[in-house]
Amino acid sequence: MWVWFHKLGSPPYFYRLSSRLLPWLAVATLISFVVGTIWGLFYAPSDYQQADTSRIMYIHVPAAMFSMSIYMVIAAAGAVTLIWRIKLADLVAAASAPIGASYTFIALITGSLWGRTMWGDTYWEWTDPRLMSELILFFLYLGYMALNAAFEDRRRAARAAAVLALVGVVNIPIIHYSVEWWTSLHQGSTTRGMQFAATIYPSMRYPLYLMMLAFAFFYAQLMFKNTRCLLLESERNNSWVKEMVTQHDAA
Amino acid sequence: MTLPEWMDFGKWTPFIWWCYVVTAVVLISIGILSYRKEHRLLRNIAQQKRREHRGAS
Repeated sequence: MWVWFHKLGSPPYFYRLSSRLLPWLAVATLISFVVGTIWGLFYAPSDYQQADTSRIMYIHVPAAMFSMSIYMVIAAAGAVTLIWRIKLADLVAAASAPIGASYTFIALITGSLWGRTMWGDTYWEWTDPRLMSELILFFLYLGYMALNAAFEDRRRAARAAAVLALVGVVNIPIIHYSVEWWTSLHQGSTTRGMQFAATIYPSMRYPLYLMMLAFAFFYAQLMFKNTRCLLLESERNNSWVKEMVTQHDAA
Repeated sequence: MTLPEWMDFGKWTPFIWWCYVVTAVVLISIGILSYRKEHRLLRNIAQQKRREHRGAS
């Protein structure tokens, strides 16, 4: 396991591995998105209280879930950067940030549109803890990306961004438990462990699982792509990059 | 001719459409940006390598 972990930290190994995985991830992303969307929009039943508006769930829930998960990936990679100084961990974190920010943006927009139909005549409530903590997560992503871009020295940028990512982790349990700790317009948590299976009927749960998979595959695919770009930028003068470009040209 | 119920898109509020449209636009945009960036980088590195090769010979 540790041997594989160390091997994964090697840029040429990572690049070759991602080249093999990317086509499969692209196919898995496309299939799960197409099937999940059609299933969620056309075949899953509508909710008895919210009617067809509940179909927003198939994008809002996975986007919100992965907005938090990706931040945890960034924080974990930040810890690896600070402790073991593995360069690839920093690049994975930097590559994940724009995807996490996009997922958070989607969660905020779809949540706002869903809220407009369910809560009455408002798109946004400034005093709501769930909405505000998710908005703070979006700003944390923007801050992380800005900090990464602010330093010319890549290692200093990586360390500063890693510290911000680790400090920002405190927001993740706040987002998750905000609906229990405070009064919120947002509904209570349904996606917690075994409870999840009991609170959503299978005909709505399975398309939701599929859309979660789609968001996960999409993240993995773009994370690999963005990390490869950062690797190419930082290692463009290394021999393995030149050899790889020669092979790419020949192909 | 009446459409089957599942094709009756008009029964949905515009909010559902907007959610799916915004999601599609955001995801497709970041996907295209990533793929184009790698393509551009590979092309630049290949050009740089050819220039170095010409300079050496």
